[in-house]
Amino acid sequence: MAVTPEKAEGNTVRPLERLAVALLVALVGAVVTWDGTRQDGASAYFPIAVGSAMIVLSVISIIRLGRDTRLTDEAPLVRGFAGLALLAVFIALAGQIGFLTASLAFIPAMAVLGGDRNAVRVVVGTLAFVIMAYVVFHLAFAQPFPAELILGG
Amino acid sequence: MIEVLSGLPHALLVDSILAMIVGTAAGILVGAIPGLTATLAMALLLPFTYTMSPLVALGMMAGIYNGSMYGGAIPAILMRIPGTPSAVATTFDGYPLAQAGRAKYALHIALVSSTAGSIISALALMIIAPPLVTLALKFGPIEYFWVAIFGLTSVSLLLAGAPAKGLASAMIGVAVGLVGMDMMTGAERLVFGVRHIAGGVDLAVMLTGLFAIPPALAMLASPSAGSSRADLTGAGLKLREAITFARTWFRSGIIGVIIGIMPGAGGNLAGILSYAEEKRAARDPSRFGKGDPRGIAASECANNADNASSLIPTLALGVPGNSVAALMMGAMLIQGLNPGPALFSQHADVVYGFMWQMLLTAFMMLGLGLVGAKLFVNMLRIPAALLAPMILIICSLGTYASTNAMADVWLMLAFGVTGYVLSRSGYPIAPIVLGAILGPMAESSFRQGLLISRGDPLSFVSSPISIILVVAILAILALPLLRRRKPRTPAG
Repeated sequence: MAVTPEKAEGNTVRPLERLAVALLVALVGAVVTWDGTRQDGASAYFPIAVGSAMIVLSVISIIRLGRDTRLTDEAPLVRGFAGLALLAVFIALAGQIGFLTASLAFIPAMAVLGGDRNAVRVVVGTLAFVIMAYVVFHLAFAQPFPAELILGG
Repeated sequence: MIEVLSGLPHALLVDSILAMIVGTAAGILVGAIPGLTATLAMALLLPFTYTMSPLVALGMMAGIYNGSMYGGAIPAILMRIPGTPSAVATTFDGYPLAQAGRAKYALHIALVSSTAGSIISALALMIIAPPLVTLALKFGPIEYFWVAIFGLTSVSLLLAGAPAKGLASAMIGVAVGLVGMDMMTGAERLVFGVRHIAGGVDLAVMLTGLFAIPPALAMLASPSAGSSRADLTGAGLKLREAITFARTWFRSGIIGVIIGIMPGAGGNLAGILSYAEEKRAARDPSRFGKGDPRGIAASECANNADNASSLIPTLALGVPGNSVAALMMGAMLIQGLNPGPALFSQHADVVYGFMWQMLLTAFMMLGLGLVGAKLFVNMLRIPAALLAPMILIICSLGTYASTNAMADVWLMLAFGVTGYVLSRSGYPIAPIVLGAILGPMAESSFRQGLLISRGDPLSFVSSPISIILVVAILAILALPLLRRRKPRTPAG
């Protein structure tokens, strides 16, 4: 999963992105340190130490950043964030209309994002999965989930 | 020894055997589904154990515990998604092997190594439990503090390409572990008014987000990006090949047993530490991470070797070492059994019978695992673009099912975004998890040590165990510096 400069294949990670992530880690470190300074006594030791270490390590990462574009086997930036956005919509919908009902839209949308254009396969796969998940989670496990709009429960 | 043997006939009763078979099969199934863990399966089972006899309830739980640890290796190898947190290190070499068309071989290594680990652990529970418990009891807070720091630094530096990024990942994890209420003072830290995280971040939620979402997104990148290229008809593991892992099993088994006995440290830590140790001990460590079978053997043996041994303090002292041990203890309390020294004298049939169940389910796992693995390999036929959303849905369902809170599903997404962004920039994910586990342990041990020593910092390097650990930590920290001093080859 980590960036592997030696790989001949993969998705590119520009120095600007790596710089942004290092700065983000430093920012989180600053927040942790700041929260630590609000604590009393021994409660403050670890947050201050950990936050400060994050800042120092980020500075080291920035110094050693380099200008080359590296490769990663993670999803490309645009497609990755599109997938995360779809997942966020799915979670928001699941709370309102149920996980399985939301899945009926989520699976085809993600399949299209992933480049699957075989409509029959996508529809059959979606229905098969939703029915299987209904049997396992609602009937076998009898777990209480948010009410389903279509499938009841 | 006679007392131990007296438990065997009780474990071999028909209802006990059936319970173990059902539990083991359920464990493999649950472990193989990302987002579902042994803890969740046991928590679901717990309400039903009221009507069961003690050895039926405990037999089922023993099966789930052992089975799920192996089950977690199936998606770890086939899809690079650890089915359970303990299978994190299995992904490092399991997935590359599957990609190279040796999925069956990798699954067989995981299965026999899991079985070996479970056997070692059950024997430790039965035979060497008392001395091990005595040894662990000699560890004070200061020794636990150094153990946590040692685990954190060694894994962060050994797993990361860039030491600064590895340590930064570990610090991020420690920060996550700090979220919530300070157990010593009651003060809230890093909560920022979000009530849902006032009690801390659920480890399963974090793990699902970090380890399931980025690989699922990667599967979207290309229809062939999943493990569908794995040659499922490849040859399995031969017996004579299996024997070559004996040294790895011995090493990892010992690590797993020791980690299991230590409170707060679980199978995930055992797997990662054993992997790191196997890599360190290897003559050719460069093969690790690229499909070295020893990596799978070390991780799977250790995470199963942690199982029964984690129950040693639970059974002998009434102190559960991890969440699964706590659930086991809950099942015993439901049955009116109070774990502790009295349990061994008052309910010897149950306690020794349960020890045998931990051993017997290891062999059941071997048989059922062969069938179970074949069934789950069929999942690879699902196109990656379809499998990715299904994985994300199962993770969401599993996360919601474990806590019944949509807030945790959102939290899982937040960890998924974090894992994706960090991993793209070369920050390893495993140290984050380790930091979240060991951070709170290190902090509480550190503060207890300060209290006991009345603030004397020299007390942290006063015992021989502490000194050994400090030297080991310094040696590991010096490794990257020594590497940099080596003459570099001119760029071509």
